[in-house]
Amino acid sequence: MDELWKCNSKLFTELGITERAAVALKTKIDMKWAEREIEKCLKLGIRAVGIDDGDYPAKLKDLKDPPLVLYWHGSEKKMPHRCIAAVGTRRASTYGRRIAQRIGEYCAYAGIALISGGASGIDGNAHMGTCTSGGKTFAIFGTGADIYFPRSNANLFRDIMECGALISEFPIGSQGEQWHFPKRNRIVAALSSKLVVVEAPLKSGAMITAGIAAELGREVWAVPGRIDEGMAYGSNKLIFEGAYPLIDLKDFFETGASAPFSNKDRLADPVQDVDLSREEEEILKVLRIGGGQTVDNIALEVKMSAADILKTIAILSAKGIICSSGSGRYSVNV
Amino acid sequence: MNSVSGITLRGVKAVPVEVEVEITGGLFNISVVGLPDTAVREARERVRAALRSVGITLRGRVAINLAPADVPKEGALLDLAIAVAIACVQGGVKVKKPSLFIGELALDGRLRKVRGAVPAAFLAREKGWDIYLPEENAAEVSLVEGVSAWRVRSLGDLFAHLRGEIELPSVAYCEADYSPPQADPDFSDIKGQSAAKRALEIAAAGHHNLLLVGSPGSGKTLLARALKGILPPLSDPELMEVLLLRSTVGNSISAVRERPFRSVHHTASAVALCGGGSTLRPGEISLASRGVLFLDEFPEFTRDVLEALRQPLEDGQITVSRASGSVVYPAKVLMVAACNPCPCGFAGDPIEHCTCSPSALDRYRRRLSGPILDRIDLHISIPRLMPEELVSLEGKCGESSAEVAERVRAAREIQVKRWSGYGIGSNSEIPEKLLRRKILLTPEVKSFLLRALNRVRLSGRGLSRVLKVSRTIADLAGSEEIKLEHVAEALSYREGEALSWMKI
Repeated sequence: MDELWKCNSKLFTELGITERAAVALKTKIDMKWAEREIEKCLKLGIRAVGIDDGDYPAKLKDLKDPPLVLYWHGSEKKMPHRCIAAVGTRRASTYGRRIAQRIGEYCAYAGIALISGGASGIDGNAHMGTCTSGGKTFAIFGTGADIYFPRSNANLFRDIMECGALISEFPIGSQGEQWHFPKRNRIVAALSSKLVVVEAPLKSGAMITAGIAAELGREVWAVPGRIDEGMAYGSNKLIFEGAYPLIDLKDFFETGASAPFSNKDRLADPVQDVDLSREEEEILKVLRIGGGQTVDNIALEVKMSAADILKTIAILSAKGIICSSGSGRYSVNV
Repeated sequence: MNSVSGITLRGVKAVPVEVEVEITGGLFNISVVGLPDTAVREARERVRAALRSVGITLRGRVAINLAPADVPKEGALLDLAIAVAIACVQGGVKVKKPSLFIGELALDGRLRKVRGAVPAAFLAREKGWDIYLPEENAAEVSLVEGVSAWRVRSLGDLFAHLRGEIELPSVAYCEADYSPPQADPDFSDIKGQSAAKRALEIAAAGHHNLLLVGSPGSGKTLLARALKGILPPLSDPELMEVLLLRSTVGNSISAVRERPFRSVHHTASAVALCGGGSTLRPGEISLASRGVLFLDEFPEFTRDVLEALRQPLEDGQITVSRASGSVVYPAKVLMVAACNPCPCGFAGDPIEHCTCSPSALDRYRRRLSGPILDRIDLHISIPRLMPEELVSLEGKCGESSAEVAERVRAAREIQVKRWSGYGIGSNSEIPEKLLRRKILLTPEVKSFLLRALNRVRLSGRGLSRVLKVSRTIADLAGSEEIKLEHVAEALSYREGEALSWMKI
């Protein structure tokens, strides 16, 4: 590099690199930036995976501008070839969160890795679903791979490092600059085989990700949302424009343009086929008709005391058949 | 010497104060010694005027000594004792039997209500003394058994009585009413919310602390107030404890066995909540002892106030220490905390939208979590009912408070019987070592708990809280054995479960 610099500084301008950038590049090299970066990586237990490395995910090379280096923080050494990405807004509704979590859980059941952006809201819930159900999950960061952003997800990130990895193209210690996140999104899109937008407003990172994924020829899915809800307008629009609507989680894994991800037996939710008592059946029947019911609503339909209903709901949710869907309300798990 | 005594308060205890008077010749002057506070020092003017109203005009140097000399004296309730002591020297009044005199004097000789009449009555009973007190304090003292007390309307009457000219009316003992107090609001006044009502019932039965999370207008405050109506009436020792505390701070007292309910605003200071000040006054937590302490807008309380609550919640009492001494106050409260799910209040609401930014949410919930939350056994989300839901619930009021209170009483009886040998009164107080020994689970329940623990990540303390609540639920059902359904319900009141929809 030094020689290159000496012999022809004009070369850079001919390559289309401005003089300022060239000078910046040179100072970095002079300061042994790369060596120090590697040292920092070693100290933190982060791997730097170069574009020529065997562990470098091949799918990233579909991008026009694949990252030259990926910082890799976690126990999982290699990205599986096929994975699902779930993305969406940070300000998700209770419904969106629940669905994100279920997608995460189903990924774990199907043995497919889940990737997302590690943000709060949809991203975090999808990661959490996979982690708690024992699957593999990868979070692509818009900060350095050693920076927990948002901080409130720190516990989640620790879990992800155990059952997957935190991945970033940004140097160690980078803070979350605004322009980082759209760049991060292109990695999420490229790494995925199927991308599902759970809940996203029209102008959002998730929509950018979906756009890139479609350009790269990835399969784009979207979870239908209520049409009077701004937070779901983007994801609904995707369906209008031809994305697959996700109306059944099993179908999501089994159908689509790409080959099915799993056979039905593996997808069998371990909690679905259990014996239910008469009371449990009755309450389930009410909740199957309409979700988001309070104990009072259920009490109107079944002849049981509030204490009995609560007890039955507690057992049903311990079995994973129903779940809390908002303040004091219950729904059947999808 | 004479046998005229007054009292001063040290916490909830009355300390006898002997009042001595010496009058010598010279220019007119009254001096009070014996660590009087401002109110006591100002008694000079009130006493002088009141004595003049009954025809005793002071002349010369009047020295008043309050013994013991090293105890600080506070309050206006020493007025009467001072006046009587002076009258003994100058007015031809004789006190034959050692007696306590308490009361604040008006300039025309009338007696005004004071705080501390009940502690004084306790002291008089203990020493076998008579007690003379203002008419207005008679009601509270009448609830104390075995006191010979006289009600005094004015200084003139009292002197006439002491001279043997008239007989003052005495205070007769009347037992506090055992009939259950009117529940206000009654459970049947609250539409719907049967899940929360059930949780209140468990809280009342096992004395478990409670956190209510719900949107504005969902009825958190109403539910908290209704809790008072399903608690069993105060027993005699409890009633005396409540009386002592109320009388000490001068709160109104009625002859019912209703449990105290104290609602504290979030701007309260740690001293206001836990007690203190130079006079070592009891705080709200002590005034709520044996009853309900309601903390609305829980996350808005300052950090140190919440931290200060931790120890009394655990120990059931609080030691207030200041330079002037230390006092132990009871603090056996059932704490009910209430909060919104997010700063704007509408997270998880089916109609309204939450407009909070993720970082504001994060900050808010971080304040909500922490060690204090670990001490709350029951976490409940309260749904805000939609208009059509409210309409469909029309005419379905559910049980009345009296019916629920009956079940609570039965469950408490079982607990008292079970734990009486161990010195504890309710399931929430079970110490760790008894918990392991006394709460036995069937293998089926154990494996269920283990599976659940993986899901909700309970701390060690969290697990023992779940077991205690399970015990209460089983007691409510009248079951000796803790069954799976009891544990399942107890688990659903834990933070991880009940508020799971709030996560991330």
